[in-house]
Amino acid sequence: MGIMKNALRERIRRKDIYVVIMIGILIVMMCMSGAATLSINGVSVTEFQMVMPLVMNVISVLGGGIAIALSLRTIPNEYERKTSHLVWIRGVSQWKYHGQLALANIVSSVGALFILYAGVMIFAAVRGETGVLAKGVPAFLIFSVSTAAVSLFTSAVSLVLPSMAAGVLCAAFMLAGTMHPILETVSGIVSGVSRQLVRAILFIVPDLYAAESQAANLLSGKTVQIHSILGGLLVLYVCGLLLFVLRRKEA
Amino acid sequence: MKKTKTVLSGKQLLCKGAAVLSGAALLAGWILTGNTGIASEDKKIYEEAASLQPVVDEIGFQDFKLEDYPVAMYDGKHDYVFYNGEIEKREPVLETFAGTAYPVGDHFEVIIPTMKRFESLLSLAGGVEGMASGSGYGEEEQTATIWHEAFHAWQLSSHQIMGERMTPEDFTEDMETASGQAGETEEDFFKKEVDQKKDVKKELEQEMRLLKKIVTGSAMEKGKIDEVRNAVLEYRKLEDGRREKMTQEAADAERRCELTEGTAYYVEGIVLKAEKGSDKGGQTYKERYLETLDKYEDGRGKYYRIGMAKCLILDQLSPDWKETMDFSKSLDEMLDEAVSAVK
Amino acid sequence: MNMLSCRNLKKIYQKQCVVNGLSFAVQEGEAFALLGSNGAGKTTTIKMILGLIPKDGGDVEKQENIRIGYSPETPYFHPFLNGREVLEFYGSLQNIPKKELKEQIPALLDRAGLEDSRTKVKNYSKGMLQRLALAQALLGDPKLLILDEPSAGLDALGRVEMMQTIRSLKEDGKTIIINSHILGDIERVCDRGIIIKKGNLLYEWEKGKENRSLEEIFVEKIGGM
Repeated sequence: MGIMKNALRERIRRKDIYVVIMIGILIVMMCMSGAATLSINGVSVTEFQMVMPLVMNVISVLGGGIAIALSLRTIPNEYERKTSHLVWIRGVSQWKYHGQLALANIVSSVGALFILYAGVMIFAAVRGETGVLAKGVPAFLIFSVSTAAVSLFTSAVSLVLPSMAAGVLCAAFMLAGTMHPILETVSGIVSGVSRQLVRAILFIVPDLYAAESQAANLLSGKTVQIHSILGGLLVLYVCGLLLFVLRRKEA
Repeated sequence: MKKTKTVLSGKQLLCKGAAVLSGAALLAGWILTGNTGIASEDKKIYEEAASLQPVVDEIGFQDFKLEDYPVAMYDGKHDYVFYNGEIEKREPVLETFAGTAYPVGDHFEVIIPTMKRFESLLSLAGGVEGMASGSGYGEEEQTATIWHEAFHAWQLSSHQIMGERMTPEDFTEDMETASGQAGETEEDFFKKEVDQKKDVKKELEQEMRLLKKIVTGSAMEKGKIDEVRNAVLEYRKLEDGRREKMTQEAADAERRCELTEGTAYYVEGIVLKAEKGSDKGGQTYKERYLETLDKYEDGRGKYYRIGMAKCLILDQLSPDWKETMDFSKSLDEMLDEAVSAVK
Repeated sequence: MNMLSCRNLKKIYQKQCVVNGLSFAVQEGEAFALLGSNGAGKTTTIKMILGLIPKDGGDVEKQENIRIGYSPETPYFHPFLNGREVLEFYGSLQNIPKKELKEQIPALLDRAGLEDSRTKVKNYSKGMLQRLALAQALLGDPKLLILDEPSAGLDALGRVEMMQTIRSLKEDGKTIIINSHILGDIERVCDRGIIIKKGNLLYEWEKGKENRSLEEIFVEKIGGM
């Protein structure tokens, strides 16, 4: 676990991530304080049960962005500065090496997500929503599955693609995955080639939103769909497989 | 000297085996928990809606039963039709993004997106912020929407709306004609005839404020019928005055929309209140329905509220109004009759 | 007895042959030099030997279960670690037991001419980094050491000290492959070597075989082609 520990220590030292997290916290606080108000059918949304899922979604998109930012350069950096040479010659397998680096990416991404998520819990505490607080930890575990998948996907893709291409691909993966239901709706509106295109995206990109929304469902007392959570874990598993399959030819 | 060969140790083999097994278990679990048909959430919603029949019976509309109307839930690929205790899967009749009462063959059905689809609709409407499972629209709201649309199915199936009977065939024919033309929707019509005419809009806003005042005021609460009656007379005067500035067609469209949507909205509100339970239900009903009665919304939306306010006033002035309700008269006519009756 | 032998090694980068059928053998206990100007294919050869890049042809054969230590030309270590922590990290990757590692590290640091201090790597000079790179290469007592430009960037004194260390390693029975431009250093430490240019073997050098200095031979061979 030494590789993971060092990669994690390196992440913590990157100051740009603190800036991203600060921005995230600011947005979450704005959503919750009412500085940015939302209205549905002309009715402004103030109820905790109504605000919470919205904020959770904002967090998940931010968390996904942070996950990409944190995970994109970790593995390429190792190869560029040739730290990989000293690892490879010691007989450490690529899977073990990349796996530990990817794990560091996941831990740091989920950690950043937790900082944002803590905002929701503080908001719940202020509103006296003790029931929500009690479910906070299991809900976070569900909530973090998609962010972990985005981080893992980014790590895997960064093995074989140049940074810019990997970044664009991962951002597209994250956005399309998080906005899966929106794309489903769009696919019903548009027609012709656009429809086929949207349907193809829906087919290729997994529904990251489904798992995330179960966390909001758990917090707000709605029905939690195990299928969606398992789907999220399956995506995580497939991303893990991708990391296993994709290899560097050179150290 | 030897060339290096990769040989897997027992531990590595064990790890790989465990990884493959857990992947297989995950996949199997995912497949087994997946719904090849309608989601359990949607089934639960329908069951919940059906269980609220006694609440709706208590409202008083005669012979209005949910079980009389097939409820089709559209998941983006198929319709799942709940009827006679069974769920039938079929090709979608209407790729809808909102609940509606719709002609299917010789009858009207409730067609509603599944909960998942409804959420995506809301997310589309609300942008990034609205990418929420909630947006305040949950299972309880979906249940209330089923009742709202079922009420429309009942209106269309069993009644002449202000003297005009619309059979499923007429309805279908109308839609086919409209689809061939760049016709104006009712929404556009109201925007043109009401919302874009400053004086008409201003007066309508004033009327809505007065209606809200009547409904939420102390006179209604304390049962001061005379005060309510006088306030209604004042309202009716304002309303008639405004409608004189409008075309007959627009005024009739207003009356029709208030009647059909106002009553459905009224039923929806009561269902949601019952669904959410005594304390929370009352609070939600107050926040979402009563406190927004004067909320002006372009298009048809405002008439839901105006119509509902009129229903609530009728509850006070003529508590039995629903028993004989046949939609032949406008809510204004019914209000006028109720006011005359309490002289 | 050969510690390592390369036969007909080949590497092609972007349709250019950077190592072209290189064959040589390194005997146990000797210090062997890979010589050549920049771009000759020395580092590529080393990488192929270490398995860091795939070969496009040829074979590398090593003694069975041989442990190889490698010191890269431009070593990078996590800047927030100190020398001891770096060695602990790489030692753990080699699965050296903690207890054994604890005993090894002070000796390795000492041998590489580093103090066992809390100084972080970010505060290390180029010379100290080279020494640390050598120390990590010595982890686990490897029989074969591959040193890529071990004295690059070092001042005169640093170079002398590095060469002394390498010589003492050779005296301890290590087999050493050195890749360097500094011919004087090579001549002092190495027994044999090869001069390569553009991936081709030009000359097999052996200490004392000719009356000329290595520098003279090198200039003749490299300049003459």
